[in-house]
Parts: sequence; structure tokens; C-alpha cells
Amino acid sequence: MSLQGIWTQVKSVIVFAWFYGWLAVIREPFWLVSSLLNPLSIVVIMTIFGGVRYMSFGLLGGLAMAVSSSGGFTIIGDAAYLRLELKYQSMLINTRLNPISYTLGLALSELTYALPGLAVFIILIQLIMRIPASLYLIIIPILALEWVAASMLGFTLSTLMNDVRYGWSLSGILGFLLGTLPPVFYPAYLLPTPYIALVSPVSIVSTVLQYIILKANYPQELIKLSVIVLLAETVIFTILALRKSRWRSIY
Amino acid sequence: MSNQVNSVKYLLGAKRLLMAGGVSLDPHGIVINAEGLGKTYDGVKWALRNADLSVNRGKVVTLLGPNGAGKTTLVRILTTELEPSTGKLIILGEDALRNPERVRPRIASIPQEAKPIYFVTPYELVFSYLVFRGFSISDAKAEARRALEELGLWGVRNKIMNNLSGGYKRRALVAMALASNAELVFMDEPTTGLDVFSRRSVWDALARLKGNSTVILTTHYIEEAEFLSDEVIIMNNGLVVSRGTVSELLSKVNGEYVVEVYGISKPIFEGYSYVKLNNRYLVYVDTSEDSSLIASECAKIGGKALMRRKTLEDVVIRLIGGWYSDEPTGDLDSS
Repeated sequence: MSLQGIWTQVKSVIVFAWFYGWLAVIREPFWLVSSLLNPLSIVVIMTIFGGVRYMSFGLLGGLAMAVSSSGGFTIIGDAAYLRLELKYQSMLINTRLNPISYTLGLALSELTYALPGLAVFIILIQLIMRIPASLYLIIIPILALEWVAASMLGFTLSTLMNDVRYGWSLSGILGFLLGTLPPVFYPAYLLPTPYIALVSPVSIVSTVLQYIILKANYPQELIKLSVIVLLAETVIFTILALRKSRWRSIY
Repeated sequence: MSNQVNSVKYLLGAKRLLMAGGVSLDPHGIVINAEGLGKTYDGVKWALRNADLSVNRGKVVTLLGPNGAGKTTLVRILTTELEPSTGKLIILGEDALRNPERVRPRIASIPQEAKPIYFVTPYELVFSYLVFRGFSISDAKAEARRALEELGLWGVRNKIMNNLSGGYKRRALVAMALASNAELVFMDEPTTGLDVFSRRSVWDALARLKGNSTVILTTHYIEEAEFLSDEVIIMNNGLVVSRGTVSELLSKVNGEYVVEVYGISKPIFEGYSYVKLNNRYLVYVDTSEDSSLIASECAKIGGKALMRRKTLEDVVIRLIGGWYSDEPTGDLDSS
């Protein structure tokens, strides 16, 4: 692809994020508040029953969940909505936007939409845990990997939907199965084996954040393995999404 | 401002030629050449069967036919969205089945039942679409303005879609295709659900596209096909039943007049060509005397008859053969 072609794709991804992410933030703020409330409500309950110590676990879990949920799992419903309900994807097939840029644009718009919520979590975490700036050099790439993995998984799953209602439902089910049930809001060492955290990219990230910020007592092997599994999931989900995001349909 | 817009249009025209690979294509050349296109989803029932199609540059071609005729399947294949089960397809000189990515940026399509995103404005919708098509930011702004003005949407450019009527929403989608300056534009039922005023505004826009772009239109409105089309393709049950200009199609069915008869239980039109349409018959006759004769015969057995000149709608019904396949029709015209 020529430099001009790459610039067209980059420009399109940014415009997509503005169009479907930023405009939604400023015109649909109620959704934003609603999407924030899920992880926040868990943090509130954990704080009531566990005190400040567990509030910290809850906030880190909330951050990990907000990245996956607002940035990733909602893509299932939105991608299915744009494809099935609005036929917007069909219109974009006949443009210069390629399937990869479409997927990235959609993922970036979800992240843009989630940014105010993420900012709330980061501010709360900073106020309570006072994280040194240098740790963000580790935290941000970990969260970025989680965002890419969740977005690509979400997009892949959206291509299997033939009714937009299933897309919204699946977002909620995945949020529970991958973001609430595994050790996301609570420490994995409470389970018979902390390695259960490896079942979900959200609990992987939460476990790593607990280890580096709260100095939670996890075996080093678990942390190493967590990073490897997260990297592998990101690559696999991205390949799956790119295969599924081909424009041509057989149905 | 108009000079500015004109120079943008000139530059876009030049850009379009470059996008076509630097080849100065014959303005009367063939834009779509399809052979034996077919589509089956389950290997048994065919949504589209053996469709051959050849469309010349700059023409408006309308696909007409009842629901389930295969129009949308054909359009989805031609826009490279759907993979056909059989056939060959050359679009704008490119093999659209092997290299769809070379064709896609040069065409624009508004699918059936497409809806705009509800929280954006018409201007944002068209502008972003043009950026996705590869326009620069400044060209996208200029062309979005031009298209919105042409479709009477400039006054509502900053209103959120959710607050606009169905007619405005539909016209905003048409504005996307209009602004695209694409060589080939597909519009699948662009005026469905529009009031008569909005529909005519879309017709005007489509008429302006004519000549510069080739337009493939599907519609249920026969008068739309008559008003806009250089050629009409009639489809039914996945087959291309007939094709031609409006006057050619009119001449394919015998008779100058049509008598629409209802309220009788059996056809009494010996020697005339007719079809059954639900609970009424359409009888095709050559003279007004024949019309009067049929009307009086019907009246004797308690039926009613309406007489009129034959229209394209009567031709479509005749060529498709009415609504009920189990009901015998009169002698079918060879066409």
C-alpha cells in the first residue's frame, strides 16, 4: 500500500472514531453514565463489605472491566447494529475504507466513547493508590493489549450474529462471564488456584494490575504466563477478526 | 463560492479518471458485464438464476419485479457484497469476483432499508462518508455541501437525524451517493416510504446523476421507472423475465388498452390475452370498441370493468404472468 493509501486509512479510522465515538459522547451522555455504573456499582459493594483494601481491588477490576466492556464487548452490539439494522457496513463496502480500518475505526470509536469513564477510574485510582508515573509505562501497554484483544474478539463474535438483539444480549453475557465471574474485582488468590485468572483477558489484566500496583501475592510464573497469554489472545483474536471482517458475504 | 465548487468538481472529475487507472474509458463503454450470475443459499432454491446483464456507461437502469424476485440479491452481487454461486462479473473493466477491492472505491451503493446513524447530522453523515471514500477534508466539505443543497437538505444540515422526518433521513442517504461522484451508483428502493414531494426531490437528484454516473435502481414504483430509466429489467422468481426501454417493453405486450375486470368468477375473455391478478383480471385489447364489448359482457353477469390505456405496470404484470401460477392465464405473448 502506498503512503497516500496508508494516510487515507489512518484518516478514515480517526474520522470514524470522531463520527461514531466522540459525537456519541457529546450527544448521548446518558449511555456513558449507564456504562460506567456497572463496574462502579461492584466497587461500591466491595467497599461497603471489604473496606478500603477491597475498594482498591474493586477499582483496578473496574478499570480493567471498563476497558474491555466499554471498549470491547460493546463492539459486538454496535458492529451487529451497523451491519444488520442500519446496513451501514454495506454502504462502507464501496469506499476506500478496508475491512481492517473499519474494525479499528469501530474499536477506536468505542474507546473514545469509553474515555470519560476510564478517566473517572484513573482519577479515583490515582487519588487512593498514588501510583508513581513510571508504573504507567507498564499499565498503559497492558490495558492497550486488553483493549485490542477484547475489541477483536467482540468484532469476531458480532459477525456471527444474525439479529441485532442477540448482539446486545451477548455483550451482557460476555461482560458477566469474562468480566465479573473470574477474579477481576477480587484477588485470584482467594480461589483454589490463582491460575484461574488466565481464563479471561479481563482477569489477566486485573491480576497483573493487582500484582504491580497493590503488590498482591501472586507467583511470578502466573504474571509471566498472564502476559504471554494476553499477547497470544491479542494476536489470535486479531487474526480471527481480520478473517471475519472480509467484506464479501456468502449469505 | 460557486466558482470554488465548480473547480472542486473539475478536480474531482479528473481524480475519478485517475482512479480508473489512468485509462480514458469509452464514455459509451460497458460498465457492467455479467454472465450466468446465480445465487443459491441452500443448494436447492435459487434466489437468482442465470442472469446475464450488460449495462452501458451513463445510463439509468431500473430493476422491476415483485418482492422476492431477486432484485436485491442481484444488486448485492453487483456491489461485490455477496458472492455469487455461479457466473462471471466484469465491472468497470475489472473482474469483480477476483478483484473486488479494485471495483469497490469506484462504486457507491445505498442498500434497501439502509438507515442513517441516529445521533449524527446530515452534514456529518455525508462528510464522513466522503472521507471514507478517499476525499480530502476540504473536498469532502465542499461536496457534502453541494449534495445537501441539491437535495434540499442544507437547511437541516445541523439537525440530528433522530429529529428529522423519514423523508429527510432517506434523502440524506441519497445525498451520500450523490456526493460520492462514483462512476457507478446502486440504489435499492431509494424512495420507499417517501411522500410525493420527497420522492420527486430524489428523482431530480437521480436525474442529475444521469450521464455522469451509471445508476442501477430498484423500485416498486412503476412511474419512477418510467420517469428515470433508460432501460428497465423485469425480474421474477430469480429470473430476468424481460428487458428494454420503456417503449420497447410497452410494445412487447399486445394491445393498446387494458380492461380491469372484477366481480366475476370465471374468465369470459375468449380470444383475448389476459392475466389474473388476485381477485381481478387484466384483459389486453387493441381497440376501445373491444374494451366496451368486454365491459358490457361483464356487466351482464354482475361484474365491473375499468378501461384505460396500457401502462408499464400492465406490461410488468403481463410479463410476470399475474399473481397465481395455478390459475391459467390467456395466451402469453411471445416476447
